[in-house]
Order: sequence, then C-alpha cells, then structure tokens
Amino acid sequence: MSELFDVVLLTLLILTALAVARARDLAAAAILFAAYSLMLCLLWLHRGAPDVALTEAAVGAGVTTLLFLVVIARTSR
Amino acid sequence: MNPRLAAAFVTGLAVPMLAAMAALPRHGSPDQPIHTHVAREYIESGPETGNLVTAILLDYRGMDTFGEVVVIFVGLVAVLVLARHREPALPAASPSPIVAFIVRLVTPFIALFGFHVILSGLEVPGGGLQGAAILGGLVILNGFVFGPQHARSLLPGRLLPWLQGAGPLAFLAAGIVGGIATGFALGYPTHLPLLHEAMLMGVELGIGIGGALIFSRLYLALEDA
Repeated sequence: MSELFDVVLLTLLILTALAVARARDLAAAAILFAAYSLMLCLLWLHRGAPDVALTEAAVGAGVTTLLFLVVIARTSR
Repeated sequence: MNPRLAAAFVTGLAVPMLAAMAALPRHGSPDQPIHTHVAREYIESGPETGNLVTAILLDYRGMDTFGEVVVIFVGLVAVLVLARHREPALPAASPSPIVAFIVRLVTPFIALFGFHVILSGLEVPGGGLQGAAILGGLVILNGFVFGPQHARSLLPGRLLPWLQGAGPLAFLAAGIVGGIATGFALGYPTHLPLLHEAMLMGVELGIGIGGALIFSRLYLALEDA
C-alpha cells in the first residue's frame, strides 16, 4: 500500500513535469509547476522528511510560483 | 540539438545512473552507512526532545547555517545595489472583489501560521527559513493583488535596514553569547536551559523575520525594475 502511494505520486510528478515543459502559456506553466512542487512535497512527507516537505511547500509552491507570476504579469500581459 | 542525438545522450546517461540506483541500500534499512556512523551518535547523544533537524542545523553544523544566512543577506544587498528605486508608473490594477476579499480574509491566518512555524521549529518540523518563506510569500501575495505600494506599507519603516540583517545579526549575537558562556564560538550552554532556549529562539526569529523581509525586498526590487 505504501509502495503504491509512492508509485502514484511519482507518476503524477513525472506527468506534471512533462506538462510544465509542454505548456504553451507561461502562467499555466507556473501554476503546473506549483502542482509539481506540491506533489514533491507529499513525496517528501511520505518518505519521512517533514522538514524538507515544509520547505518545498513554502518555497517551491509558494514564493517561487508567486515570483514567476509577478514576472509574467510585469513582462507579457 | 539533434533530437536523436539528445535521446541517445540521455539514454547513455540514464543507464549508469539506474545501475548505481540498483546498488543503493534499501530505503530505511538500518545498516546503511549513513545510519551507522555520525547519525547514530547524534541521535543517541543529541537533545532528548525537540526537532533533531533544527538541532543539527543550529548546533552540530551551526557555522554552515551561519554562512548560508550571510549568503542570502549578501544576495539581497547585491540586488539592492543593482536595482534603483523608481515609483511604479502603472497604477495597481483593481483586483476582483472575490480575490481581494479572500486575500484580506486569509492574510492574518497565514501571518499567524508563519510565526507559529518559525517558533515551533525547535520542537516540530519547521523553523526560520520555512516561516520566512511563508511570511515573505504573504507579502508578495498582497503586493500581487493590491499593488506594490500596499506590500511596501506592510513592511516596518525605520527599523527595516536592521531587520533585513536580523538573520546574520541574531546568529552573531548567539555566537558571541555562546562563546562567553561555553568558551566556543556558537557553543550552546546546555547547563543553562533558559539561556539555551532563548538563544535558539533568537536565532530562529532572526532568520525568520530577516528572511521574510529579504523575500519581500527581492519582490519589491523586481516590481521597481
């Protein structure tokens, strides 16, 4: 059961990574990247690294996504 | 690059990596090298309660963490030297009422959670950097929705230059206090539990508040550019 959870998360991780690379819209790519970070955060948590998971959620999904969105808003739209 | 060449390159890279992964010990097996040397020693002789990760970051390799905090601060200084302050020409776009309401609603709760993460990092997963990212992200979120002027108004005014350097300053103070109390720079006086706790709290708060302001200033420099 635990292994299955890992496999599902890793599959979703790879799928979101591919989706980020293939997205045509920059804002969509930034949001998909946040989803990737959340998936990775769950994976860290499940692997027994809650400190790293918290950092991933706060920095990877939070601050980085916001900075990407700010840059996109300032440049292209 | 030729796509076929790229595929061949990636495959050639993947084969030795996968072979190396097969040779790794099973996840969580107790006889793998990292569990038999320093880690075991540290778990056995480390703090009885509390967050081992924080103990390692602030005590066992405190000097490394001090260096990292200084590097982040120097990064902000470099950005501020390059970026010149300019009043934004565009007025902030008025946000949709739903977005504005939700952001106003969640802001105090996220702020409380950020401080909770900073201060509870001594006992449970969390700590200065994570709390800093939460608080900094909150300021950036407010700036993104209500405009950079609003984000700037959330930051402290006159104390800002000092608070930006709170991480390195708190670490330096803890190092000096620890040096006086134990004889080692960045030593923690375990025989004085109250002072020990206060030093750890001070360092975490310094990293948290200083880091949050560094994140916020980086965002504001981006908006002014």
